[in-house]
This record gives sequence, structure tokens and C-alpha cells, in this order.
Amino acid sequence: MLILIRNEVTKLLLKKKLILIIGLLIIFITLLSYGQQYTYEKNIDRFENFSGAGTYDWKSLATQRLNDLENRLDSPYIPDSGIASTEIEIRQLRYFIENDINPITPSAVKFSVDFVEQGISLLIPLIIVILAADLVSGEFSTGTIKVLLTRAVPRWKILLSKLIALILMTTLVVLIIGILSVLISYLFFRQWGFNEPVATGFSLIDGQLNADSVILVTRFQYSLLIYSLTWYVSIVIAAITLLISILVENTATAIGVLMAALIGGQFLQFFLSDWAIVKFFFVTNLDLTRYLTGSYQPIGGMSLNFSIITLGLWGLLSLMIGFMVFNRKDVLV
Amino acid sequence: MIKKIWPLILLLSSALILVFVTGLITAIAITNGGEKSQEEIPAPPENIQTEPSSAAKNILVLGDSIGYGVGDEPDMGIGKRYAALIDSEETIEVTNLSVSGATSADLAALVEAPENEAFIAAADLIIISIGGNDLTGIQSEDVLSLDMAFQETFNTYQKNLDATLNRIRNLNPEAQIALIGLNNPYSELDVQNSQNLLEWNYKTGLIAAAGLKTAYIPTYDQFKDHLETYLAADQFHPSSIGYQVIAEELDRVLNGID
Repeated sequence: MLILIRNEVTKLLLKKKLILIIGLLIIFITLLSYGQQYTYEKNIDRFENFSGAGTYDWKSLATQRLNDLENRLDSPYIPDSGIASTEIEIRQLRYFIENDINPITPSAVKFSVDFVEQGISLLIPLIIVILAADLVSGEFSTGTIKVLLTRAVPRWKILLSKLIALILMTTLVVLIIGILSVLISYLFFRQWGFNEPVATGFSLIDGQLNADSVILVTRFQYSLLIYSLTWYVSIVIAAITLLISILVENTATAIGVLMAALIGGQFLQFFLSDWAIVKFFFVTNLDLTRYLTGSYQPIGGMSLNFSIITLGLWGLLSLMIGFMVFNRKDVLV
Repeated sequence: MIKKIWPLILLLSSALILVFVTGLITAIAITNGGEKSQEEIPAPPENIQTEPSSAAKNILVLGDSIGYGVGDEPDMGIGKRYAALIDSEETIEVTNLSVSGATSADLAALVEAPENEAFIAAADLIIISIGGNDLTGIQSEDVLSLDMAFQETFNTYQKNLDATLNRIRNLNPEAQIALIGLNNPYSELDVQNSQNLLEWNYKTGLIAAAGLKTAYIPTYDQFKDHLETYLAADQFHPSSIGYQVIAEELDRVLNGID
């Protein structure tokens, strides 16, 4: 079995897809981090011109804000509901002031998190599609499936080895996205930002954002959480791609079908958000990371748990159908 | 080549899968509010009043740092200074619920809170100083977007102020309300800013005029030419003299000159 998996990994590596993916990522990440640096410098310039003070003194502004917030906490008359979020803001501000970091300065880890948060619903699924779309259909179109199936190995084992190889490679791709985005953006920002405190753990109770359970984690821990969600999404997309790849026998069609599903799904979300059934479509549930920042509920009744379960069901169902179809499929190549 | 990196790929991926699965579980746990590692909120200071006193006259001060008396001698502020001014035989109790840095939204939330109901209901005079912190938010806007940001900020302010005044009126239809106008701590350097501030004050005056027993207390012209003495060392909040000026103005508007 291990040898079968190694065989599949070898095939994936030899196709040089990984190099294509890395190339694409390098281009995108370089452009985006350059863009962010540019916007940041422009903002600072504009602020300096406006205030006429010469240098932009964020520290006194932040200190003043911190004092205000602390005074506010000392006042016994403020409603309890505001206390938790005030405390969080105080701790964040203290970190920035103590470490002499301007809160709006872009940092490598922040960029990396932003990058996957933006990419999780389209760019990253597309990258996984590039990786996985020809896994089975490619064997059919080149005819190599015959050689593969004539071996004395049951069909399900061959598909399983492909699946495991795909999961391994998908995991690596997520790692590569993380490493590339941190390293390249560091070249621009010169700021790692691993220890920056981030607020997370918002929950929606009766449609109201509840900040009571909010906790502060470091930016590094937060990025681990975000990347875990990204990984989960990638694995589900890989499973669905594998199914399509088994069904259509032609790589170009497989990529087309998946792109249509991904882009069409975004439309559905915009136009039909009143229609409850849309929330069971996998594309609607891809944006897992936004649940962590607490800003997101595209359709009423959706939550992180709901999305994870829905995506998981889609993945499992795809795999079941995929194995069934692959086991019975006539090979007419 | 591939044979060499194969164990590496296998190990790395498997380890990462473990990490990611742990991360996923943590993310779910956090979002469901499972872990709560926050320290306890420090207990509020002990000398708070929880009941309005039964003094003959109650003054309630609401709002931001100017209501609180930042820059003044400790334990003074507009309310106490005004109470000293009217100097009647009756005992006057001043309650200050102001919060430094409060915006109009904070104030609206504060008067909504049930724990403050009793104070509002018992007050005979309610002094409100609010709006300054709403305005500081738009200072970083550039010249082009300033007008729009100003309008937007004022609209939110107006909505919050209306809500605040309504709530106060519901709880206490009898009390006299006094809205303290904004002064310009930045002198006349920036014409655009001064114009905006005057417009803001004018519109606040209109809101006050629309309500029953609601007065607008101007401070802009009173402060304009005396910033050195009327402002505290931070060049932003009024000094003791500044607070005295506001309190006297309040006295003149409410009680006239006898």
C-alpha cells in the first residue's frame, strides 16, 4: 500500500504541477505584499501631510486611547456588556505600546493570514483543483489507466492510494502557501509579528455578536487556527475534485465543472441568500475563517459547526460515490 | 531523487495533518465559547453610590471627559461648580456618571442600562457633555472626504442624542436638561475645523430647542480668546477656570441674573 501511495506521489511530483502552483503563488504574493506596503506608505504620507506635524506620532494617539479606555473601566457606571471588549482592546493597545509597534504596520504573519482569509473561497480551492483535477481523468485520457488496473491490486486500493497521495500533497500545498506568504511578505514589511495579540472566539447568540467568550491569542496561534481551517477546506475540495475527476474522464472538463461550481456558488450566495437551501451548497460554506473574526453570517442559521459538518458531508459523500463509480466503471480505453 | 525525499514528504505531511486537525478542533472549541481563559474583571471600587440620595436637589452629570471633569481639580467638574454657584439653602447632591472618552453611542448605551435608571429618574437637573469624541474621529480624514465624514458623524450623533434625550424624558419628564456646547481647543488655526464645529454646535442647539426644558449652553465664544487660561495643561480639556466659566454660563442660562 505504501508503495502504491509513493507511486502516486511520484506521479504528482513528476507532472511539475507543484512547480506551477509555487510559481503562481510567488507571483500573487509578491504583487499583493508590494501593494499592501505601497498603500500603507501612502496612508502614512497622507496623514503626515494632513496633520502638518511632520512625523506621524501614533504612540501618543494610542496612549491617549489607552488612558481613555482605562478610565472607562474604572467608571462603575458603564453597562457590563461593554467591559469584555474594552479589556481586549486595552490589552492589544498595551502590547503595541510596550513593543513600540504601530498597530497599523503590516507584518508578515498578518499578511499571511489575510491572504488565506481572502483566498479561502476561490484562489485556494482553484489551486487544489489544479493539483487534483487530472488525478483519475488524466489516466483515462492518456490511457495509462489500463496499465494501472491490470496489476494484481483491487481497484479500491488504487483509488485509496490516489486519495492518500492527494491528501499528503494538499497538506504540503497548504504549508507552502503559509511559508511563501510569510517569507515573501517579510521581505517587504521587515516585521514578523508572531506575538501580536489577536482577538478571537466571537459567537453569535440570537443574531447578536457576543464578545463574552472572546480570548486573546498571539498572531502565530491565530494563524495556526486559520491555516487549520484552510486545510480542512482544501481537503474537502480535493475530495470533490477527485469525484469529478472520476466521473468525467477528461481533465479540461473536470477543471471547467469545478470552476463553474466555485464561481457560480459565489453568485448564489449574493442573489439567493434568502433561500435556505443555498446554505447546504459547499461553496457557500467555504469561508470558514470569517467565523473566527465574528463578522460573518451570510445566511441566517449558519455557524462554524454547521459549515464544518456540511463540508464534511460533502467530502464524505463525494468519496463514497467516487469509490462506487470507480469500482464499477467500464474501462474502454 | 524522489525516493530520497519520499520519507520526508510522508513524515512532514503526516505531522502537519496532526497539527491541522488539532487546530481545527481548537477553532471549533473556541468558537463555541468553550475555553475561557480571561482573568476576572477587577472588582469595581467600593465607594460607588448605588442609590440616589434623598437630598432636596439632585444634579446628574452625563457624558465624556468634560462632564467627568478631566483637567479640573480633583472631585470638582461642572456639576459641583454649578452647585456651589447657586448656593441655595437646600442640600444639593451631585452624581457624576460621565465616562472619559465616551462617544454619543456610549452615552446612549449608558442611559439604556437599567442600573442607571434610578439616577436619571431622581435628577432635577441633568447636565450632558457629549460629542467631542465623536468629532475627534474625523480629524484624520483628508480634506476631500471631510465633509462627508462630518455629515455621517453628525447623523450618528444626532440619532444617539435623540435616543438619549428620549430615554431621559421617558424616565423623568420633569428634569431640566442642559447640553454643553463644544469649544475649540485648537484655536483658530484651522478654518475648516472651526466652521464644522460651529455647525455642530448650531445643530445641537436646534436639537435642544426642539425639546421641552432642554437648554443649550454655549462655550465656543467664551473660550475662543482665552485658550491659555481656560485650557488645562494638556491643551485639550478645560482648566479649573474653564470649568468655572462653563458652570457660570450654565447658571446664567438656567437662572438668569438676579
